[in-house]
Amino acid sequence: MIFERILLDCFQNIQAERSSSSIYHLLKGKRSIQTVQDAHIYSLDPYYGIYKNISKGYYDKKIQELVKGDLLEKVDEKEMTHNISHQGLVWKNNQSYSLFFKGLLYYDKTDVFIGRLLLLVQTLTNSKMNFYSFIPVVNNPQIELWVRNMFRQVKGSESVILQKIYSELKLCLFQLTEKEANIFVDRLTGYQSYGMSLFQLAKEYEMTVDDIHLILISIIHRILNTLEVNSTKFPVLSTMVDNQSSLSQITNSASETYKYFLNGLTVEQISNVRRLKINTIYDHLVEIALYDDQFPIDQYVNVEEQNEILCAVKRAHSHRLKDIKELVKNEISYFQIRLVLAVMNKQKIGGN
Amino acid sequence: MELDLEHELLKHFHFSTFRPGQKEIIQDVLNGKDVLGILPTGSGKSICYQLPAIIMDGLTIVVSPLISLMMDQVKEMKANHFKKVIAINSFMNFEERREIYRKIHTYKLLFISPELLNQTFIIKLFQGVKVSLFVIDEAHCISQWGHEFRPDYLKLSSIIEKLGTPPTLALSATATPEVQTDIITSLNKPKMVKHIYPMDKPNIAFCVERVENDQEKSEILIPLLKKYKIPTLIYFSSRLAAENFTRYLSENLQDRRVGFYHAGMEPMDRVMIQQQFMNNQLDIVCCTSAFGMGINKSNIRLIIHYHIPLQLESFIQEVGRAGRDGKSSVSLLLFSKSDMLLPNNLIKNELPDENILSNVFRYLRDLSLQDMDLPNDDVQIQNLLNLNETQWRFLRYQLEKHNLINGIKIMDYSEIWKDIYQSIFHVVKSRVKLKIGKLTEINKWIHEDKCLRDTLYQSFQPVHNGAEFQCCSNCGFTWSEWSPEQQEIESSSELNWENKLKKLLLLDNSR
Repeated sequence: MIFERILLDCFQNIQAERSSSSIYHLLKGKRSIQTVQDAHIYSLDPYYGIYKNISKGYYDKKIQELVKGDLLEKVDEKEMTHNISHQGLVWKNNQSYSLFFKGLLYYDKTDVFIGRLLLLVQTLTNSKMNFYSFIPVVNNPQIELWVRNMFRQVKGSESVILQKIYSELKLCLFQLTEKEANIFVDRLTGYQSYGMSLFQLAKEYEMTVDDIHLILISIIHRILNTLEVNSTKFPVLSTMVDNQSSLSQITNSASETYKYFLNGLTVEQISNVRRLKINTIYDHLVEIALYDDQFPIDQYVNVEEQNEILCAVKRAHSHRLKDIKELVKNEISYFQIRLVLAVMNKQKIGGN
Repeated sequence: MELDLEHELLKHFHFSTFRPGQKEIIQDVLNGKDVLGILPTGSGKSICYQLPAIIMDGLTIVVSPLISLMMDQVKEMKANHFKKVIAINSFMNFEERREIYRKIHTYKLLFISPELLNQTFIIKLFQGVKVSLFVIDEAHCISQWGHEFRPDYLKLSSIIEKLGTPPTLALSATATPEVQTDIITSLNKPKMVKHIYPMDKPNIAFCVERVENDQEKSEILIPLLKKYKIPTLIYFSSRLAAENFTRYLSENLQDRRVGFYHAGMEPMDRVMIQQQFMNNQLDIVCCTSAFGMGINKSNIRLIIHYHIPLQLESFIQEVGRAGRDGKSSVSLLLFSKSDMLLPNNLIKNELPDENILSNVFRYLRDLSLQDMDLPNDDVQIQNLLNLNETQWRFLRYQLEKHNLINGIKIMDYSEIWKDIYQSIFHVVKSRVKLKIGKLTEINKWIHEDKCLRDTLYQSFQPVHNGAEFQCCSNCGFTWSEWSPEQQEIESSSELNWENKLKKLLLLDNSR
């Protein structure tokens, strides 16, 4: 029921201002400016990219189910929008179990961390038993490379490292429920003991495969959060975290634009150099504004206009660009409104 | 210098003797001959190119039809400490591919799909290295009359020439005499040395049970699986059926560990299920035909077909995974009349029907009249025209063959288009006919009164070795006389997570 609850959360927050597929893109973690910005605007950034494997067909089926169960209702057939129903609200409020997510923040870190942990544990336990012909459960060249380097450093002292991993993991897992800790441990692979598949875990713990997946992601996010707060207490687990700056969260094309932007080129100049449309560069700037605390918004929207836009947002009770645009003077462009929204949401999150 | 092949085998693979056929094939390959090797499933076909790849200078290229199969082979070889192996596939991103191109000289063995091998830049890449051996795995894909025809396999002979005509080794587990001829003709190598080994399995008994419906299948299987605690595979024709039956079994067989496997699962889950089964952590796997290729478990005792495969070739391959250790094993096929509906649909979906075909032609004509190209992305085309991957692959090959398209370019619209349409439509009809024929063949075999072993192998080989244990349900097979060694199932002691973690990390004091 965790997955259903998260879906309803999403629909409740976007209030039918975006199509249903925008939530699909959000959960999948689509690297588009629109999706990242939506995540901020609707405070859905915790859920960004927490279900990277979901398929559109399955997502659509799930939405249909929710509509059929009267938890979700169609708003506009043509725009493909849905909203949470009254019954849905009641149902959702009765769900006591809630999970911790930091999807957008840990977008890159999640898979890297769990991949390194799984493969390192499998490698160390097998090597401790002098067994070198095992089939790795993780198949990712970068992660393999990291584990190989790590293994070279600690070879011979497997027991010491395993002991450390044990005590560090134990500290992390103590913060979870018994059931969650069990699920996490059952997923691990060791010497001649392969971990359980999602379906097997689902059966063992009498949950859906979706929920098992989400619980595992949530556990990883909680561990990452713990490590961030107190990395000195977790010397071994902390090495498994990929520490890139938050700017790496920007899409590739936008980060290219960002370099020119930092060199002081104007939008027109960047558009010329990169042979991209002006509107694309605008998209990039909005994305950069989301992450760069020093973004000079005043260069693009003067303070007066910023205030006018902020007032319009309040009056419109909506983040729908069209609604806001109608309430401000004609000279203010969609680009300026989006920039203000981006910065506004960043401050809201920072203030929390 | 005479190489001591047994010594090399021991050194690299830790086997002291070759299985029948391996040494003969390897010797001919090392002597630079072109070889056609037909070796039964489970006889260690891959050693026939792995060992030469290690021994010979230069690069061995293996053409393989399935990405999952390639990945399994690479993983297994790496696990056996042979690291100079790589699989190139179309899912790799630019960075990963560039890394491979940069390091191409360091590899000894490279797996690739026939589709990718047809790309000019790939050929250029290989032309820069010494290709010492060219291997065609699953070579029956070459034959129009084979059960798994893959159009791109037909272009291999020109590729071999472009690579400087290295010795060529074509391997298959199933090939009727006519398919063998097709392989040799298509590769344009009339002097190929043939090494044909019988595919019959004397240690497997064949059992066919006709039932009325799925309910009866369950009524047979539950008591049977309760009685035999042995490594078991159950084949289904759909992913959903495999999943559902897994659920059903785990509810009804409390003391047995059941899992399922199909190509729609996450890669990590697939490795876990495969390896749990290898490792005796799982007793029964419900699977689709995706499972088993590259699986080297020697003590699978029972192979059940809950649904019939589409042809005898697949059946023989799947059954061949039982009893690789030579001990008595059983194949059980359950058949109800309604089972014929599903394969009929599967066959029809594999190829474009008349509707789809005229749709595609209309689309191409419109593009051609507007002087436009095809989209560069095959997936986009598939979605646009509502085709599945197999259908589009088939159509692309046919359209290119008639020069109606060339890459993304479309031929000018003219009267010839009608002829091309007719000719492709004709191919579709004859392919469907062939597949239906294959299905009829297996249906006929199921309803056979004579010895099932005789009739199963008769179109593949003139004689077979006979049964080592019980023969078949038509020759008086009885379950009561079959008592394979039962497997001990470790009772998983209920530990709390701390102790489980301790045990997993090898920190409990019992070790």
